[in-house]
Amino acid sequence: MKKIIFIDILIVLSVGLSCFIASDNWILSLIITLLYIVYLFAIFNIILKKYNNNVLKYHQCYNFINDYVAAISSYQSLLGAFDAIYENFNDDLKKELEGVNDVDILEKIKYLQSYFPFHVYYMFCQIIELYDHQGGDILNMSSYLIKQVRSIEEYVNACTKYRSSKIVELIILWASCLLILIFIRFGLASFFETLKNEFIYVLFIAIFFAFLLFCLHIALNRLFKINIRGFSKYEKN
Amino acid sequence: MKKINGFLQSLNLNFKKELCLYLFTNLIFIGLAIAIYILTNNLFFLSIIVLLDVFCNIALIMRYSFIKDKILKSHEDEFIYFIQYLEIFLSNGYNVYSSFIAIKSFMSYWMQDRIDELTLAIDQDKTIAPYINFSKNFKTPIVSNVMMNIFQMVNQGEDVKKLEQFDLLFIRFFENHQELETIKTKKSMDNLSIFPLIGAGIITIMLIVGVVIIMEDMINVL
Repeated sequence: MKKIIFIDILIVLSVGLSCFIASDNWILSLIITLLYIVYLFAIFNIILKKYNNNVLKYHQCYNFINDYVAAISSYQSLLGAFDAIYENFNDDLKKELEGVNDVDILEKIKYLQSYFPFHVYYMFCQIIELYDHQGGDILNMSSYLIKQVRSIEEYVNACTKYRSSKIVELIILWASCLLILIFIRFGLASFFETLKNEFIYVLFIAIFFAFLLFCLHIALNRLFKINIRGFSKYEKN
Repeated sequence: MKKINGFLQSLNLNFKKELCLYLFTNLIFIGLAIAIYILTNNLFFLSIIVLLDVFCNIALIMRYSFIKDKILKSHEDEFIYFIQYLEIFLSNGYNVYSSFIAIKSFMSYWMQDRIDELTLAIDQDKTIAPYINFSKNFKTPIVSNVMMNIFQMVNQGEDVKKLEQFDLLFIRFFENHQELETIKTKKSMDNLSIFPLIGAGIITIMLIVGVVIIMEDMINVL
């Protein structure tokens, strides 16, 4: 969360300052800054937090399914296997399980459906239930599921890696645009002095920063959108 | 009007919302045009706003074909998951029919309806026809091949060996889909690079307009 707030401050400061430098109009700069602050707190932070949460949970889900299947195959018991991998859980998952310490192991696994809202986890629960009722080889039973879980994990990792390099590229390109605006103020000082009171110039500055906000939103939706099938309202169409 | 309404409904769009969107967009441009004309009294800027309004309306109309393609693509994507989930259930002892029922809860409303139609048709008709009819909901020819294979599985007995053959046949299909999904995500990220260029374009136009204004002032002085 601290990291997200730091990003917010950085965006607001760079946009607000460059708008003021480029237009010398504090009313426009204030409006643009307020617009960005509202957007960042109303949309940006929520999408970013949701994305981080989803990816983190998927990694946990992937590890949980793999570890638990491997543990069941060696312990041949749902409870024994669960206790064996319990230490590997992160604090959030342990906290989630605190309220259901006394319930049956199958119920405990099912309870985690609200924590891991992914289709693969629901199917994993059905396989575990089937294993509990009729027995069998858990490695065989879950082989197709494990294959799918792994393929989603590979997809998430590939997207995350590519996203980081794309963010750096976009920051460099947009920073160059802002630098050009600042250059007009200091490099073409007399030109700027003539133009700064023209309505059309101020309008173009406003259009530029509105466009930057629009691009920020598009970038947010594309860079932080990941296709993991789960039970969210977005899945239903 | 009914035809338009039906078309919009097929794209999961609301007629009233669409009407509001067109009105809102055009009103913004009209307001902007009036404001610019009053403030600058310049027909050149007015014509730019009118041109932008026309482009905006064309873009709004053009987006319907994109939405249509997107919906078709999402149905095909969903079919991939349908097969993957089917495999998981079949490998755990479910038969094809009960797997269809179990999969339903993981699918979209559209797919749930198609599965309902399929299971209902299977109840009444034990031939390949329900499977073929199901595949007609998708454009990709591979869907009918997959459905025919599922029918063969039902017809020849649903044993583990058949499932392994099924898996071998479609493993490349799945891998290809996953690869395409990753490429699609990367491509959509790559397309973002064009926006800073448009931003630089706005700055360039702003500078040109500035130069024009200065020259106009100079000519007026002379």
